[in-house]
Amino acid sequence: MMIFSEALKEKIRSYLERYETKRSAILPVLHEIQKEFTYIDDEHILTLEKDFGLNRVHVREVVTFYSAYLTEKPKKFRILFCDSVSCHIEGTQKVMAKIEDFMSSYKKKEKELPFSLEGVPCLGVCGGAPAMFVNEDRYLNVSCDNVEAILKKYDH
Amino acid sequence: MGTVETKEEVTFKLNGIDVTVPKGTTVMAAAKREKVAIPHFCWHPGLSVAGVCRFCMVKVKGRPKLEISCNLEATPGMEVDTVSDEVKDSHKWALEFHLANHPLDCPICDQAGECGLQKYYMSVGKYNSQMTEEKVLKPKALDVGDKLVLDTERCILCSRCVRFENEVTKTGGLGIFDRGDRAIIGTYGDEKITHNYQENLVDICPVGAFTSKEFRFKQRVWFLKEKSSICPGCSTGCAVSIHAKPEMETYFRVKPRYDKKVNGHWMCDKGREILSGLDKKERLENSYLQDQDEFSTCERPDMINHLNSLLSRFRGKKISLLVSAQYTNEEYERLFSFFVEKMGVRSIFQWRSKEEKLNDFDGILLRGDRNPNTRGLLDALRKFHILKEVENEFEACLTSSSDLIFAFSPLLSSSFSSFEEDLARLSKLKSCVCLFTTSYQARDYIGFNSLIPLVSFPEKTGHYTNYKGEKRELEGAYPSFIHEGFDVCELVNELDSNIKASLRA
Repeated sequence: MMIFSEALKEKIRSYLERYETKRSAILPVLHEIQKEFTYIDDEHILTLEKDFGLNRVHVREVVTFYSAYLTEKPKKFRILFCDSVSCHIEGTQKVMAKIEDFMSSYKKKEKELPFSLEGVPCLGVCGGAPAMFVNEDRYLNVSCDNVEAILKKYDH
Repeated sequence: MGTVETKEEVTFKLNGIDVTVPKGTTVMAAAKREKVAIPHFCWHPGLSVAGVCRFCMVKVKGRPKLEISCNLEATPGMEVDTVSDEVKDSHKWALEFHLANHPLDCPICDQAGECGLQKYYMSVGKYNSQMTEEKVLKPKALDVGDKLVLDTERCILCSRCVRFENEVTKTGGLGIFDRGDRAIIGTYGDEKITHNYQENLVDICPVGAFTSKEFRFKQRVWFLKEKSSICPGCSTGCAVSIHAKPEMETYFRVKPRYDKKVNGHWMCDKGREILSGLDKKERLENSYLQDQDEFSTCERPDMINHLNSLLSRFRGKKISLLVSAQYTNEEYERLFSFFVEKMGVRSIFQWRSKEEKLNDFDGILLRGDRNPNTRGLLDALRKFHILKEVENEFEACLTSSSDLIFAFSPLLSSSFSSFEEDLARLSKLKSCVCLFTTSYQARDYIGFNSLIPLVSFPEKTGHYTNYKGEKRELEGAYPSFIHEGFDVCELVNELDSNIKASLRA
């Protein structure tokens, strides 16, 4: 059984106290768990039920509703590429295809792929379109020319 | 819940007619009371308001948009319209969206005939579908409980079942997972629902998503007849209706009937097991007389004569009655007025289950006393000045050295785990034992003097008195398909008139 750290437990308790019903605290509690473990799986949900009295069904409803909660261990580097209108006009499709190419080169070399690529809605920086996140780092004006260099910084 | 109990009242206009309802009543509940049909899926009078199906749209004069009536409190002077073209149009398109991903597999669906989608398509739909998109495929025929099968494709996500689990049984076993057109109802992982109120989920599901394992594929619902009765499964006395197909001589299912005071909208799964043992092949169909270690059948008049001759033969000797608490008040009344007042019988024993835990209660409906009429039996005995407490006197009856015992067996062997054992011990007594029963099993115990077939609870009218002392009426009776079966009152009447005749002679 995966055990929550004392700091995490303390945080969860403080969220649970904050609301009238425990169920109301599920969102922030899940955020804390994802911060610590990078994803949320059955073990975490069952621990929440056992140690904190949150119904497992209620928790799972929330986890599966929001795609921002990950139910599987993510790759080391998550690329979130904006595929909304402004970035689309500025060439999201081409850059994403370039990233796919880059990622498939790992397969040819039989190396383990440290990246995952997802299209996400607007990142709120249309002025720097196309925009992307690699984990917590933000990149603006990403293009076919510079994207490979950016990604290579992460995997050397 | 639809209505709130207050004395204050409000008057509003529903389709131009003044309607007065208690303050706090929703337009939906008021319309239901006034028999104005507003189509709805997610609203259920026994559950909280969810407002998710967006089907029960009405127009309120002076407000710009249509509103859902299930979450709309009636206020003084409000003018509500449920029949205008605008409202009808909204119902039609709401239905089209509900059916967007529905598989339309009515020919193989068990809900057909009592399905909300079918009903509303005919009353408010009748559109030509404009959907050309592929339907979203979802898991089917999931085993989600001991008594449940779930088809998530047929589900319209009304969330009645989720609210039932959260509010009534408080088990929280069901949830809506995922999102949008991929959203499905389900349990956590492969878990199963195990509580004693599962079949209520089948009842409240407005479509064919939850179906009953027990009833699945047994019968089309439009062939079933329905009669109001009272559940004899325990001392709560839930109002139920029994669904049967008389021409097939088969009982198919039990459903709860709304009764505000006793069971509300629900009943337990134990109560739905009362039909076991009612099949023709499990019933005692004929009268049997024991003759040299063999039972031979006899006609009804012969059995009456036989019982009468026994009664005269044992006149002045010790005659006992052994009765279970599963008969109606009327039957007890008739039985005791004959045996106690006419025949002077004073030794009456209660035949109860060995394993019963009288004071058990599951917090919702099911009680430990698995007899429907313990109170009625005690009241009747008291009326004839025989003072009794609730206790199992089966052992006392065995050791009472009675010469003649008239044993009225439990009618529901399902709530009597020691039934066969009791029969075996009773049949080995030296006394002359006449067994009045519905169970075919009795034929295996050769020691009885005679076996008298009885009609069972769906086949009689009368009253039970429940644990609170409320009279519960068995309203409708099916004609018994046990043609040789006796009704207790009729049987006693015949014995009585025969005795009178023999005294006169």
